[in-house]
Amino acid sequence: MPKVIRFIACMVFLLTCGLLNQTSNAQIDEILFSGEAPTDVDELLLLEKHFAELAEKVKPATVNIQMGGSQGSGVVVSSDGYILTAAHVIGPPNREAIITFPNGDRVRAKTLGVSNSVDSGMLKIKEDQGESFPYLDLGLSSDLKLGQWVMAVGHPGGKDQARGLVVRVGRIITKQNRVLKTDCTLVGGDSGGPLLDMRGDVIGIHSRIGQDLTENLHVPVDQYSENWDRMAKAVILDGRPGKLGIDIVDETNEVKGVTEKSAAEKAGIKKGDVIIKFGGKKIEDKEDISSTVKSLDLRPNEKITIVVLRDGEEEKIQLTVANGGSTRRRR
Amino acid sequence: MNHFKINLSLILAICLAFCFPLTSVTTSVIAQEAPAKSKKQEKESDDDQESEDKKSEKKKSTKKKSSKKKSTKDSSDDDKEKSDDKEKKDDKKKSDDKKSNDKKKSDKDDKDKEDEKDKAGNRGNSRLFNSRLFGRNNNSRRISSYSKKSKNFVSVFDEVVASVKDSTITIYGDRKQVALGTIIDADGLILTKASQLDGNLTCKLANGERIKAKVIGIDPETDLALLKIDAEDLTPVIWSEEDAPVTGRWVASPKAERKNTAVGVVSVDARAIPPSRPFIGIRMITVFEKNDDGEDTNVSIGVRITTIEDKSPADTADLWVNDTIIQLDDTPIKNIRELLKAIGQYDVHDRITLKVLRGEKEMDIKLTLASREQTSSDNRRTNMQNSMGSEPSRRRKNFPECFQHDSMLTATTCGGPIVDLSGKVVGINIARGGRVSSLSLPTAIVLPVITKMKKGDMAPEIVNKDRIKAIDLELSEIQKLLGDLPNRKIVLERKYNVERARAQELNRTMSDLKRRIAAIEEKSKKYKLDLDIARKQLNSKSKIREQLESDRRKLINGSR
Repeated sequence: MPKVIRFIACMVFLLTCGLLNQTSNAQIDEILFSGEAPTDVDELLLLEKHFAELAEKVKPATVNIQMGGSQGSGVVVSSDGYILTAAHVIGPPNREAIITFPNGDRVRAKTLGVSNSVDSGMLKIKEDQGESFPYLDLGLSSDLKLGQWVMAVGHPGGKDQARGLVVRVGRIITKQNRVLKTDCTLVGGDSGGPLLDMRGDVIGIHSRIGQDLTENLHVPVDQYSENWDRMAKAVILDGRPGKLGIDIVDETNEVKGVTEKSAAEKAGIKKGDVIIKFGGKKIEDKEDISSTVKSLDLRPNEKITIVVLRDGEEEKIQLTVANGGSTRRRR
Repeated sequence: MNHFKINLSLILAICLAFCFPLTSVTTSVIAQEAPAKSKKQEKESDDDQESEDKKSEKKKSTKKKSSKKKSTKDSSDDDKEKSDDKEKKDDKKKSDDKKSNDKKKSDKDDKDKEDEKDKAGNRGNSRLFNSRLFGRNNNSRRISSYSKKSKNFVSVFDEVVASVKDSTITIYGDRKQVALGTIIDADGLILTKASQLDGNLTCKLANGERIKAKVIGIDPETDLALLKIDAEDLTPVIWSEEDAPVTGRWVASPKAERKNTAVGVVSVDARAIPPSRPFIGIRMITVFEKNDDGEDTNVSIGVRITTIEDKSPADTADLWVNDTIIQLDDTPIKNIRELLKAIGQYDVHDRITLKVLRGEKEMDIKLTLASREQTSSDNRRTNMQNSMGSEPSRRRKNFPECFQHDSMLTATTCGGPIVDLSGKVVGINIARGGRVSSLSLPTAIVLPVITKMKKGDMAPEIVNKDRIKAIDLELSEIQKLLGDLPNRKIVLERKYNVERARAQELNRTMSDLKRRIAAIEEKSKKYKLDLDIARKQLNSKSKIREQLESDRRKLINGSR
């Protein structure tokens, strides 16, 4: 009998523990994600314990980016080495950057796509530089609540090996499609560093500041997730519309001419080719190809596959879209 | 009550009207040395922003007037700093259903922003780093209830700082606040930041009483100073016995953010803060010895100044472009590397003597080294950003150990205590490092310094003995020089007059001689003329003679 009682007591104890544990988890979640300010010191204690753990979690994936003489910060978001940063840190695509991890490891990376208007940019560590890297998951910036706790990490004032990364904690002050504002103070060198939610997921990238200490602006991470494929293909999202250099005048979709030094000429498209597939879309006879091209909204650096009919044979052609202004019209 | 509400919204409208010029807030790209936005572009977007702000503001204020309840709610946030007492009333009213209000408000904010976003999103997408999106003062002020600065958040820390609130005092130098102070002894010993002290010092206690203060100790290494005031029964701080707080821990500094508690978390664990690099503000080239043909050999002999930065130590010390530096104190300087290495041996604020060649002349020039951060134009962008929204301390480098946190201090709110959530003092705020950084000396570093300073052998006149002596020496040299100069001036004037007289005398002689030369030349011209005539006559006469002689010979021979 005592055994049974002991057993029951034990179970009750465990259950209560479980319940307590659950409530305290719920309590932490409430503090961490609801956007409400903490109401007493106990909640502050829970918060700071979480901050300390989170800082250690997120540091290894936060990197320094060096582009020639200037530097900024960045965050690795995949084990194969995709890095998010700010557009103004990396400049145009296909340049080389030196990435330094907090432990001092240095690797080389290539700059990929950017959007200069929202200040988003992407890099990829080069294939031969390593197998897998510490990384953080992407969050969902559209789900953020005003007042929600966030953490900013970066290299303010540039890399300082003796100091290491600098952690700041703050809250979401405003939230828009193209920009987040927090009171995590930022300064030169922080650019490109990650803004993290309390899970340690990347929800923004440091971009710029205003006069007030509460005006610290970040690019929402959704700007990256939504444009991931094109950024990874080194596309300038808000560049001038790209140029192909193909002249087509009638509905036969036969190439009537190729602009000198254009993307089409470089890809090997010739006068007389008949386009039957454009970017994976089949072009029917007598269909207007220009609407297809328009709908793809091609930007410089974007790669596209075109299938043409040449002397009765199908030929697959890889074309890299050129800069809008750079090609000369054929006389 | 109704009447009061209307008044409030009127006041609000007036306040906002004054805010318009402020709306052209500068936003700044936070890369290290990234290409700056062109000025024209900046201006365009600012103008844009202002006009749009006005439009949206008008819209809002009409909205507010139409719904009185809403407007009072909003204004309590909007007017936070402007009208304190009104705010209190509002707060009281609000406190009951604060949470639900907050929620309603945030919903409304979201909606407002959606509207603005739609408007803003379609225009000027291609514009880089458009400040228009962010510079809304009214917006940021309203939503600042979400920031760590907001009253309802900071008030959570009230019980944390309660134990040190009375131990934190304000220090004035000639009536201007220069720092905060930490009471460490009931009988009037106060700890503060040494390099901030300037002018006639007074301390303002928690009860508002102002008392004159005297500096009785200075520790240059930590930049701590010990003050003595004539007071009793003060409340000293309670020191923490824990190690310095680590990254992520909350810290609170009473009276630091507009007399309220400044709150932050530790950003970087305690570490030594390195000194800043001293510099003198010149660009230079190495000078080589010349060979007989005037060509450079490969033997370097000094460093020639090619550019001097405005307001740099070199500028102040009156170094000239083209001066060639050949020695720094006792170290001979042959090339740029040697000069940089020699300067690296010194600290900011050290005084050095440069031996330079100016033309043929060798001269000694004394100057005080400065830190690059303070003066260099290279760092203007970073400097600008670091002073955006905060005022950095003059001394913010070179500390034996500090932990860094993100509390929003300023240069004049350092020197006070900083506590962790236990309410015990974990350090003394010693510097505002810049926009993202405040530095605090951990308690373990502070306590031994207090003991040292209490002994009395760190009084400013003792600690600064050498530097005072050096300056006195230099002053007396300059004084002597100044005393000598009038005499030298008289001597030189006399010499000058004598020489000028001699020059005049010689000038007179010279013009006399010139006249005589001219006369002689005149005469010689005349003689030359006569000579020519005579020569011609001689010529014709000798021809006639030859003729006659030939005739005579012919006649004698009878052949004619």
